[in-house]
Amino acid sequence: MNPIIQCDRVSKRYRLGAGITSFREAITGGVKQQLRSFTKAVDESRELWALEDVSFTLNKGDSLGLIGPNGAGKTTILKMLAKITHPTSGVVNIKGRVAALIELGAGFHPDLTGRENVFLNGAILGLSNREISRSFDRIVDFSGLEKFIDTPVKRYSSGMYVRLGFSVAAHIEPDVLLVDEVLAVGDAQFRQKCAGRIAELRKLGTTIVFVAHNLYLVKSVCDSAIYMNHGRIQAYGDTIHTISAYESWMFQNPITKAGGLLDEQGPNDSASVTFTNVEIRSLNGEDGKKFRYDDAIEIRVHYEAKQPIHQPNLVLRIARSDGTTCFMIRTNDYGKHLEDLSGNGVISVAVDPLQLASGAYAIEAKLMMSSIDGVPLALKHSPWFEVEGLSLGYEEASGVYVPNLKWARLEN
Amino acid sequence: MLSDYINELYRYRELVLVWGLREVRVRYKQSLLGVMWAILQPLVMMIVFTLVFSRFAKVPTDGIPYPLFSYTALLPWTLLATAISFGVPSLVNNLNLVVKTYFPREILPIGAVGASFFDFMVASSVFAVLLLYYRIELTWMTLWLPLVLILQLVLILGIAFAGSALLVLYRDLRFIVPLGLQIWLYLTPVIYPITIIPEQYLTLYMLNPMAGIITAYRQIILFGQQPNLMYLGIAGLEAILIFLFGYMMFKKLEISFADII
Repeated sequence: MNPIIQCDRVSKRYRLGAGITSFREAITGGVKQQLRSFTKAVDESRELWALEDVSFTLNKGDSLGLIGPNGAGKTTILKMLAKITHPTSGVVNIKGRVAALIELGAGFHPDLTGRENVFLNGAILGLSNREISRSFDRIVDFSGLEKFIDTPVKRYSSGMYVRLGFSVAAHIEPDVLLVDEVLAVGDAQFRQKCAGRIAELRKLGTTIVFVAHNLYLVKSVCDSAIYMNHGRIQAYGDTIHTISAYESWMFQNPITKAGGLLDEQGPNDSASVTFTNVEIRSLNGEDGKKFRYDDAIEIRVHYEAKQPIHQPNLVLRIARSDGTTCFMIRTNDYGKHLEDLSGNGVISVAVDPLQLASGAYAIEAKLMMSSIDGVPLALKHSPWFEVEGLSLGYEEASGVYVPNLKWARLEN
Repeated sequence: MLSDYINELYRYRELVLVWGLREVRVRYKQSLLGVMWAILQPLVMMIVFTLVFSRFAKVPTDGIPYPLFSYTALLPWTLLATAISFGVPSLVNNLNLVVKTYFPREILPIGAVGASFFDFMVASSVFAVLLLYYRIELTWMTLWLPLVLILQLVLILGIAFAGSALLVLYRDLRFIVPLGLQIWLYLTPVIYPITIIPEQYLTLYMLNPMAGIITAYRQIILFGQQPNLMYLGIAGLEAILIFLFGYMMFKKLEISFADII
């Protein structure tokens, strides 16, 4: 069978910096640089290899998932397949009609109405007027925008943009459909519809390349996957193995996202109390950065009180790397009153079992006065730690909580 | 090479049409007088020129009433000027499309030129009225008209291709275009006839392709003559060379548009 998509040793280099944008620059400093760029001796610190040596082949009806962290080169691959950008070296070969849903509202003109834009967008995707007219009603029906079809799209919400864009691209029955999951911003119902339509297109033999963060979606939609990182293919093959390669990378690498944590209060002589350390330990004795969802853990807050603190209120927030608050423990809410703090010491809270889903978490510890709530006396967070749950991947796909379940089957 | 480009463009022929229509629509959307502007621009210029160059300064017109004399040149000149003014920024102004979608990029300048051609056709209706008013009878020589018009469009497209591609690299062109068009207008027989050009400068003067083209329009329509083939030949050759140069340059730079823009 002839491959529909062939990428052969594709690399893509971006020049950093603004480039040359006026004659004067070109004439003065630029000339040398221009000459150098012709002789290929480019200043290496000013360039970025977005893709290096990427090769893969897809046949008719294949569906490929592209996974990996942000900035790994997934979208660059899509743009290359869509012919929006061109490889610095290597060859990209695609047969047939390509429909790309890479960015929001691409191919729409804000001043034109929804109807006019359907035709414009269709034409950009390479359709004839007649073909668009034939599918027009289905497109509008799918988008659910009948009422707004004669309104200029500049008055559309971003959700409406995406709905119309997806509807056009999905109804032209392309040979190749390129989708970036970033587009899946519509409401849940519309996303369902999109997923359904993608499944339909697969049956019709459309080749699909799908950039996704939702690993469940990749698992259900794609029959092979590529895990990209630093512009290179790290793993390529069947979906399950590729996903697990990506996951093990995620667990090994410290999360650098801020996760919506408050700024810590630095050492301060005038502060009456400071937290010197917030640590998480496994109750089995292991002191690690990685736990299982059913581990029992202990949170230890080390404090240093210069003056006695009367009946303080300790607040512990467990935050996931995307900023979600998973739970919040306020000693006051539990009806517990900490004893007065003075000197150095450790407050310990055991969480048994942890019951968190897969992801990276940190604990934010705050100390409040019992009389005035809301303004912390001391604030510190723990290092990030990983939790290995039952579910795949991170964040929205896996939820935050792993309940203790008891299954039963009841007879009526 | 060239045939590949043209094949790809042919595959997207529907888009050429849709984009051209879009250009026309968008140009006059939210403007009060709408498509009337296509008529007003050359018409107002003609009135001002008539006042200044026929009443105040006595510019010779080889016996043709000045309004007719100048409008015959202003009509194709306006086509050139608007097509270039809209064509050159067509890539940069549609950044969104260039960065996010694929189609042969030359459709953008072609669309801008096409929309200007639409304006030209609209403004031609005034010309028809003028011809009737001044009782100018068209002769068989009118058959030369399509050829001259095609050569002019070839010239315009070449400039629009080269200009739009260069504007992506050098934004200086934004300032050069209006200045250049102004200078070019004075070097072209729009306001005056070529007969006022001194003999020793004439060869040099006729190297301006628009000089040959405008002269041909006047000869064909106002005098019922065959156009001066030498002048038209020079203009045509230049137009074709500029077109090929502009198009090849455009296609060579096209690969990097989305990365640079």
